[in-house]
Amino acid sequence: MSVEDLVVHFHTIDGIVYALNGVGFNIRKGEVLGLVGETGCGKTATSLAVLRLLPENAEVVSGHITFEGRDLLTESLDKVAEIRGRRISMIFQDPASSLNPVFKIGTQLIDVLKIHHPNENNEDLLKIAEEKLAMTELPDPRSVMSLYPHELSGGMQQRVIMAVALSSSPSLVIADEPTTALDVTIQAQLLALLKKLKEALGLSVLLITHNLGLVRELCDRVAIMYAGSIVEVASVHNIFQNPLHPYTRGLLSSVVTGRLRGRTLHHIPGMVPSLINPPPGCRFNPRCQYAISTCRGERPELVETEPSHLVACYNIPKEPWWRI
Amino acid sequence: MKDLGQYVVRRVAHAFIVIVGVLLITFLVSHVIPGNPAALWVGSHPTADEIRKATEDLGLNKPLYVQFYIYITNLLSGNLGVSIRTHNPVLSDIAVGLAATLELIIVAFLIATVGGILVGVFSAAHRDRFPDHFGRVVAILGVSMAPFWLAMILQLLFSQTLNMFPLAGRLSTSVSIIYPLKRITGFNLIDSLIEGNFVAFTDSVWHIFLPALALAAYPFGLSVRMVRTMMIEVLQENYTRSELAWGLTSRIILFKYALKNAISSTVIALGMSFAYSLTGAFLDEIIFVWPGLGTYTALSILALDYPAIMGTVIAVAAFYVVINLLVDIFQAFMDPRVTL
Amino acid sequence: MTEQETVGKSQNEKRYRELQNILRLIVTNPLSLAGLAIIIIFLIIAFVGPYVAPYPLQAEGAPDLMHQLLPPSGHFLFGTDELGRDIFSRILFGARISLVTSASVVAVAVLIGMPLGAIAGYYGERLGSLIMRITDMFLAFPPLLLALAVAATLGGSMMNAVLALIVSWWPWYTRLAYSQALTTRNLPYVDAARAIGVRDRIIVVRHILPATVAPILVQATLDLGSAIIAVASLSFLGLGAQPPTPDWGLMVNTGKTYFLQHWWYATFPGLAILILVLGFNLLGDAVREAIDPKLSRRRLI
Repeated sequence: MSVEDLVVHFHTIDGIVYALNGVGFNIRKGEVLGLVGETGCGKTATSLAVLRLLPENAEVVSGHITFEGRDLLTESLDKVAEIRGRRISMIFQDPASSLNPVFKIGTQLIDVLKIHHPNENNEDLLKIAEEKLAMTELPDPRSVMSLYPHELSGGMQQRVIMAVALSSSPSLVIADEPTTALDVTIQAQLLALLKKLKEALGLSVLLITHNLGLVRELCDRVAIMYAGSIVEVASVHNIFQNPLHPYTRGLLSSVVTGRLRGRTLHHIPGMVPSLINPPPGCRFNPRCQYAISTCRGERPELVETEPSHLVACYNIPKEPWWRI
Repeated sequence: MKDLGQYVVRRVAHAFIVIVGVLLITFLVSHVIPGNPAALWVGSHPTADEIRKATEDLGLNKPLYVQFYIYITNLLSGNLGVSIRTHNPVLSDIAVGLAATLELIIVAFLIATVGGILVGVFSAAHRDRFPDHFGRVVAILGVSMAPFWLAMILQLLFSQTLNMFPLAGRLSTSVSIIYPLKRITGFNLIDSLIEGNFVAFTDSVWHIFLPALALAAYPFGLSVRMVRTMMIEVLQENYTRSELAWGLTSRIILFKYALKNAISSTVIALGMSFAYSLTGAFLDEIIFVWPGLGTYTALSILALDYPAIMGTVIAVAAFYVVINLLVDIFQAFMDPRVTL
Repeated sequence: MTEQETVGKSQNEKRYRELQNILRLIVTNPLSLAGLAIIIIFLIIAFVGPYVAPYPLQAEGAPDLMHQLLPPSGHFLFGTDELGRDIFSRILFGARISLVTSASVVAVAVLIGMPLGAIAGYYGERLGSLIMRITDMFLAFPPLLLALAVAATLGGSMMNAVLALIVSWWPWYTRLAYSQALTTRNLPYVDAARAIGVRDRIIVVRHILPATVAPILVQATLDLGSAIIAVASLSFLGLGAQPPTPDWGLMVNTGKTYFLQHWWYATFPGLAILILVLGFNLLGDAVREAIDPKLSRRRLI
């Protein structure tokens, strides 16, 4: 799937929020792309845009989202609805609120299966449902089916959601901070599961997170996002070895790693800008120590500065990042 | 299911306490507030003998708690007093009229609920667009009309002017003679079906339609409002977003998933509007001369038949407590989180 | 200012801003504006009506046997009743009655219920439970039923009807104030006030009570419509206004004997009730939707 030049505005009582400012990246078949950024930078908005799940006050001003030869932004809503759950699936952040509380797990799962496997009869659907639940390593799938969501733990709930999302073997899974609301131990388990499933089903995954550790574990490539645009895209190895964009460098320096042992933790001065009144040009320029006058003009495009390493910056710093 | 059982027990115990409280209040109203309670219970122009007898029976010259004890024991043995007007025990008068009133209320409620859900869901799904505005206006009108007035207007328009429906009563005299209806449950609609008496059935439907419609207006308006509000809330929830992302169709989401979440709270609104319908039914019956508790109460008020009035009040209040209990249990059944 | 006064003051400022927000939302919604307009028109009628009515004496009861039961015409806008009195004039006089009685019911019920609920919510445990138990028992009655019993006991008159309604309505406000008080009691600044040593009584008056005002005010506005119908219903049953009072409910009641042949008799008073109640409901609905934070987030379907 490839996203090109996605511009999205939100119309709120306080004014227009210029949330997405020309977002572009692509995901190749079978790869895990991490979309990393702070809260509010537009990661969730981007993911919702793919399946046309943006709220009513959102306006998709321009851009293309190409998937299997079609532009999802211009297709009819019916066609997109067919894709939902079938070719592209989504997993959300808080599993407890993502399951309907008054229906049993089995009911919800089977209703979804009915849509995607219209030709199966009820008995077969039951079997398939159990298989899917077993696939996400839920103990005793049969009894899980007769439980209500609030009777399950957070980790189990998320496994159920994964089972439902993967039930029709989609080619792309968008996971929006799937483990943020869960305990660290559960996080590790679910990560392992996700890895296994990705191998087994040949999934492509768009993993949205602000947790760099997760990225390192799971992702093949990483896209760093700041205030509505992608500022750097590279392989996981390169991002951590050789971050180029000033924001990425700042981000990495504020995380504890071996390399920084003994030094004071760096923090990026200033605050994330308001998206109702964003700074001109590169939105990071007010906080950037390498900013030059061009940065306040046109927004920088993503340029392939090194092989397979894209950066959107006019003034890429030369010194190694850990010297900040 | 064990949770549900425990909840039921708790609720029943609570209802029991509430009924005692209700009886206490009615006792205060009928024995303590009036300056001369005996006079009220005996009726107009009481003779000295009658007053003395009443004072004996009710224990009016004894301390309050004894009076209350007499009051409760009387009620528990089914003695709600004797109607001044009909000279029957109030309890038997009520029993006769109860079925008629219940039938009316239930039919009205069905209309209100089904209509309310349909319009409410429809409104919520098209929020802030024309269908929504239309639905909300209709709902508000329903809630704003005095039920007795609506009954009269319907009667004027559809009975008197257009002659589409009968003016009054439950059954045409001709039908009750030629196709007599045996009283099994007291519900004409059911009894006629049990007997296979389809003429009586159609006639009963024809008679109940307008009064039920008039009575349904208020609960209809209330349920549209409630369903719409709850649906809007539910449609904004995270799980609705999940359901959409999984590929479930709008129809399934609206009418199965969202609705069930909304309904458990709609049931509260329906319970409340049931309260208004009880008294609304009273007013409705007067207009359509429906032989139920409402007409009975109206006649009792006109005749200053105090025992009948208080007896009806007690019976209806107790009935209402029971209905609330059932509503709560139903709600717990629909939304398993309630029992926690 | 003491510390807790400062905190309390900023709470009040926040509420003031919320109020402004609500007012703004009301004014921009056409339905609520219509409601407001209706209410204002009726208020004007209530004040001015008796001076403008074409047949004021008749409105107060004077019969005119020459013009009994006449249909609407240029002389008698809404027709006349069985005693020949102009229905239009009577309706104008009746506006005052309806507004005053319903406002009294709601106002007194609030004045009784709100402090009770605030106290119950704040003091909790024994006093609170006791108050709420009693409230629950009153709430167990279908609304008009208790009022009916009380009115029947006291005898039919407008005053008694209002009294009866007050007796059956106060519990609703108590419950509302109670839940609001419970929430407020647990807020940090109340804890802080108690820790500083502010006496309970002052906390209730200065902090708890104001917090309960907002939801009760909204509910009261909504309830005015119901109150009007309740008063009219009691009058309709004969337990409220007595002849010759030009009360709308009473007019519909007397009218029901005649109106099948003389449609105008009950239609116009009932219409007056409908429009006034509609006004309150439109306004109340808009206010409620404005306040409810849950209705303003995202929409997906």
